[in-house]
Amino acid sequence: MDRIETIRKRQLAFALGVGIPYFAFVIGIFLVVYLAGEAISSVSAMGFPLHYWLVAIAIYPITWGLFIWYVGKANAIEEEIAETAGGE
Amino acid sequence: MEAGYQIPFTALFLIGCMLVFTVVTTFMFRRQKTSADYYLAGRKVNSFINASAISADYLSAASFLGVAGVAFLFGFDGIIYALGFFAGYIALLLFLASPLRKFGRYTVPDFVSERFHSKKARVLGAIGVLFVSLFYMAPQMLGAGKVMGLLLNMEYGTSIIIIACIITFYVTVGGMKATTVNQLVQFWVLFGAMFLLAFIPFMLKGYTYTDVVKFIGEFKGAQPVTGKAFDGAAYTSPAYWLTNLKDTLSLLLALMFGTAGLPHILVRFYTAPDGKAARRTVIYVLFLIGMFYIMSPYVGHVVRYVFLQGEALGVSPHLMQWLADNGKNLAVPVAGSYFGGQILLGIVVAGAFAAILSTVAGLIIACAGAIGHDLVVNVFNPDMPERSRVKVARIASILIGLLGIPLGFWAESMQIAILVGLAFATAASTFFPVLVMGVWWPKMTKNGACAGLLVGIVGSFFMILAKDMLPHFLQYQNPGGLVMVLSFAAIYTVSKLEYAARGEDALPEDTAEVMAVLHGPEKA
Repeated sequence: MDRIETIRKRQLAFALGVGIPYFAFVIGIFLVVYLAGEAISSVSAMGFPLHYWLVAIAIYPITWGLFIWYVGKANAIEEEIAETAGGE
Repeated sequence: MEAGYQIPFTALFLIGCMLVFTVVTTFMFRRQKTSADYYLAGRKVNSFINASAISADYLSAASFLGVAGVAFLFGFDGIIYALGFFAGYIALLLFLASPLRKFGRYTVPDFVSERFHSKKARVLGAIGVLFVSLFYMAPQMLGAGKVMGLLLNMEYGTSIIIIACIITFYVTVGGMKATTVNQLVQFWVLFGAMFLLAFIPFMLKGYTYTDVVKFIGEFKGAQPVTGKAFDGAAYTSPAYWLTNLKDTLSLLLALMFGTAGLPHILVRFYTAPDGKAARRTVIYVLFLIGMFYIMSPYVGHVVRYVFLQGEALGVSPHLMQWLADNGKNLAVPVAGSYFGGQILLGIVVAGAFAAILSTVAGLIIACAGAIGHDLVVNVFNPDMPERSRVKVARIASILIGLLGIPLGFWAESMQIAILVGLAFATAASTFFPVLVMGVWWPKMTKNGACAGLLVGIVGSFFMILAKDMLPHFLQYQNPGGLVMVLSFAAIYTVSKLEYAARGEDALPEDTAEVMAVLHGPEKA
């Protein structure tokens, strides 16, 4: 059962390690946009306002990239666990 | 019928095709040997099909018509809805998708009941499922009555009766298998409609997002039709509509974590063959709904751009009137009519029809599971034979499906936002804390689980329906974020107190085995 506890802690640490920065990033973007609205609105990149870039466009590919990596890694951890369990 | 409006025959044709397909698939999948076949399609749904079905479940009429509509009405602030709905899947992916599938039961109350060996938790869970799902169903029926009624020139009551009967028929006869196949088709109809609405103005008319936002941002003056003042700079800036940070943050939290507590979405992860497939499914869903939520606020802004230049762009008077009167719900059909005439309007109407059908079907399955499986079978008659369980599932589906009709009449005078808000607030504050803590915290106790469920159900219900009785600092437009935190706190505090008083006896005896199932390697 100690082994399961180690696995649980490892998976939780991995999920939190990705989740906390991600949610901090999303909520952080939101807070920056709302608390510094005027400053952010006046900045534009390629003619498109920065706050639109961040909230309406950029967040999506960033999320896709991050979580494709996450799923690959999480599944690899599971396979490693299964192999270890099979070898015991 | 309004002057200048003709029912699009493309819509009737496409809806007809969908209905024929529905009848065919329903009869193909009518044989359900076990209740796992009925509720979970035999747990053999592949990731891509499941992702399409989950996306169809999720992209309801409120998303299909509402996100573009909110962006049309409130500009940049409307995009916060799209962001919250999208990010909701991340919590599900990180903390719940794989362990819940590995646990391998039928419903969300199954999890809380079997994790803590508590009938009380099962009953509370089933009540939570019914609250969330019925409050989610009401705005779908409202959308069916108001928007489909208008577009297909039917009375409010007739629309909801027809839609409730169609869905009840195919869910009852075909169960989860037919529902999944139908949702797959319905998703691609509604996604295709939104894709065309974004593709035509962007690629064929050259209305880039940049140009559209720039034009609106520089507009200051009277709006067409109503003559009301419109300040484009404020519209394209944050805090045009969401002026209260406390409310907006709570709304964002409810949207972000409510998704991971929606029973009709969670139940779909039990249909995946294994935990890895469940994770893969979420990635597909993230792609599909991400594309959708990039496109729909753009469409909302394009409709505002067209509306502000009404006469110059030759927009017909009845479309202008629709936007002025009910732009929140009709921005998408107006975009269809303006950019693609009767054909694209028809595709959009079919898309809205598909969105309503697919979401309500998912809700009926989730509610039928709560009544049939959780209450009737597991609480009142655990020894019921398998064949009778399928019968109970079908009867529960009929009851819930037909309940959509009075629910639709009840909701007629209500605000869609309040109902959707109640559904998300209850889901975020009831199921998300209990599921996350139940999956990851071995020291959570039975009473901790019940306390979390109670705080979630009662807290969200009270803070929405009795808002005016509360002191000002506790009044939230959407209390989901706050009640979710309270629910986490209740679970933690009650579990800690119980553990301090009773030690290891406070924990379920098989906690270690359950943790092994949730987090250990899957059995082949």
